[in-house]
Amino acid sequence: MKGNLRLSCILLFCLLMAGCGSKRTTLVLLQDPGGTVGKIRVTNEQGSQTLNEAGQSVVINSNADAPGDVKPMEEAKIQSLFGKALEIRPSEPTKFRFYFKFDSVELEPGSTKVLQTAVQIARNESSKDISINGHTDRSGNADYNYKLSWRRARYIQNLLEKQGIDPTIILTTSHGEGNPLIPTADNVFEPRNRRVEVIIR
Amino acid sequence: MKRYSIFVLIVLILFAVPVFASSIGSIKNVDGAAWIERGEEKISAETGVRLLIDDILKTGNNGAMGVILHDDTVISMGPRSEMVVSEFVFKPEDGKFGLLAKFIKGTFSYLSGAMSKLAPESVKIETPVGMVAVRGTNFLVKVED
Repeated sequence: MKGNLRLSCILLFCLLMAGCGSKRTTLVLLQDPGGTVGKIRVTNEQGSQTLNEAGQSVVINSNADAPGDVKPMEEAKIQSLFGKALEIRPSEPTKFRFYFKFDSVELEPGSTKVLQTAVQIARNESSKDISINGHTDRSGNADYNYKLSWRRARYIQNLLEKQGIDPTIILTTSHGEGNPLIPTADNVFEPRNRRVEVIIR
Repeated sequence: MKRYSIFVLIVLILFAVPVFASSIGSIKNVDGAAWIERGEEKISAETGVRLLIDDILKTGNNGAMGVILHDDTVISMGPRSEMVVSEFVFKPEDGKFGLLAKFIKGTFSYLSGAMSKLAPESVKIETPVGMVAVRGTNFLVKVED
């Protein structure tokens, strides 16, 4: 009897815990800003579920339950559940690309005029976070390219600072050949990958 | 004057550079009560505040905030929300990637950045009821208390 009471207490405690801390979770897939739709897959020990169409949703009641069925969620419901998070969501950062001549820190002629626009946007948006990322194509070895894209990024950093952009908000990095705009095989010449990207957040 | 400049330079090198280098992103938009808990410290959320790994981001009853990570992943949180980014490695130059964001409670929007394009398998979102694998995309999460 005593044992039963103890068991009942434990069961009751478990039920209460499940009731107040179930952590019921809802996921909703949206269309990407570019118009395509990606995919998310939620998995726990009980199972998994995939969303791959815009507006699809799934509810997982607790980590003791498998994810539920995939169901469409109406726009009005999305707004009522997520309105505030969607409203505050930052727009995607503005990105500028400066293209360089082969194996060089010299800008392609078309890229010199990009500077003024970038500086203007940084000022208009009162940006407090600017990234400058240097890139190369895949001709030459990776170490050399890492150094080359550093020099490219520093060159652009210098230009921005000369235009009065606060150096303390700038973070400059070199991605070498590891983050191409146009993926290619090794040792391929690709002018569109010889670039510095200035990202204004 | 010269001595002062050298002092400033040393301070910059000692403090600013390490914090800066380890920053994983920054706060872009804030509305109402929103803050960061960094160890014992409580930092009020403002545009431009840099985020570090393991920072706990929280919003109050009417609060909301939006952040952008260094790979351009965009995450926003509605009221009474809490999240932590506990892993962030974005080093395309070494082919190293990793993002683990924990959505603890509240409402969130998530928009993938470069990491999802370069190494989708390295991006994970943890919720109290399961892990979410992301294939380059845009989605919403609500975690009830």
